[in-house]
Amino acid sequence: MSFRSLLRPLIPSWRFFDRVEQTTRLHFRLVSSSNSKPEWQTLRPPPAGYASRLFFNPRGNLALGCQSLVDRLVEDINQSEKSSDITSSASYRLVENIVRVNLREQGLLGPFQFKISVVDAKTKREIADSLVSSEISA
Amino acid sequence: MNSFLTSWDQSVALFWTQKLVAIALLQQTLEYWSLRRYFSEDGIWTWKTVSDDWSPLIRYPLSAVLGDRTFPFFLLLQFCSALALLVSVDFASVHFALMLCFATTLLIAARFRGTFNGGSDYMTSALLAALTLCSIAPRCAKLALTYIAVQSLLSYTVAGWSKLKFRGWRNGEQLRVILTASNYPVPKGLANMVERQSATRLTILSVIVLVFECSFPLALYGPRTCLAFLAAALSFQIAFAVVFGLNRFWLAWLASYPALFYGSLYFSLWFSF
Repeated sequence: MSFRSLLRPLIPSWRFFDRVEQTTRLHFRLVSSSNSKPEWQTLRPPPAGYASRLFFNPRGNLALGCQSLVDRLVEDINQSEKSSDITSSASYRLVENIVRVNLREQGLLGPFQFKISVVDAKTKREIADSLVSSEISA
Repeated sequence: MNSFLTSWDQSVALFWTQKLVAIALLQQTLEYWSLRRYFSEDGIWTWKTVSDDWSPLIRYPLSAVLGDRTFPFFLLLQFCSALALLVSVDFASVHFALMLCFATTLLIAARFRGTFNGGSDYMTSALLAALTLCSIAPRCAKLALTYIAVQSLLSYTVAGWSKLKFRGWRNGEQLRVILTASNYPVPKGLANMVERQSATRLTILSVIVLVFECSFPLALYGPRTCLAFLAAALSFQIAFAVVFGLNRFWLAWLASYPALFYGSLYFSLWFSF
């Protein structure tokens, strides 16, 4: 960690919601021993009720925290020159942990793969895959 | 109203900033506490993953407080510090509680490699940095309040001007995109309602947001104007919490309002000359 990360909360950025042209989505699938590959499933935060989240909203904040990890990994991918740098990076392993924990919470066990797709915010269509992971053990 | 305005001095502004930031910190810590399994060794933000690329000089000493097993105790320490800040009235206890709150906030942010909740972490850190400075050097009270007021003003104004540059915000299209296609957990009913709105309605809503954010520096014109802006700003923050699930923002921003109000009193004297 650089000293800059420790000081990051003291260097505010106040540019909220200024430009949303593309969004990212995290998908996963279990990899079975047979050759057939199951469909990708999307990990999305469940929309919560209105008033309940005004004072105490840990699950909502967890979902937002996970989304920032996905967005940070995409930024790192765009800045990285070698793909091998990414798979060993903390941002990659944090996203891997998101998928692993979600699968465990759904009672799904076994090796898995994840991918991040880029979605056009206007058409809401996936336009590219930013990353497709190799098989990861549970 | 006039007696309220004359009673509002530097010490009152500092008192309310301290108490409100303590409440914001209590809320944040309680949320972290309920999510603590995600920061454990079977979780998402495991200490090994988070600190793997840190220098050993930083990693080893910090693992004693931020490691998977000790982190819940660290959260308890932050909760107790925030509670102490809320109930303390004497200078020594407030000073000690502030130092602990500031240190624990910075270290918790490091545990998330920067921030967990973006804007609310920035505002909480800015508030605590200024209050801690003022507690170490009481002569800097005016400087601390100015810093908080400037950060609060900038948070609205920079957000407004950066939106204004983008055509999608001026014609309402971005508002539709953010409410229907962003990754924020916007309630489905609201997203569907926005999809059905005409472009004219969305443009009007967008322009209201832009005018409010860009004109925020006018809050300093005088205390009455400031109260009107702060009431609108609080409603804006609560709407944010309800629509986007950003519930940590409104309490953090509320804690910056006493400094803004103090700033408006100060500026109104200036304008009257």
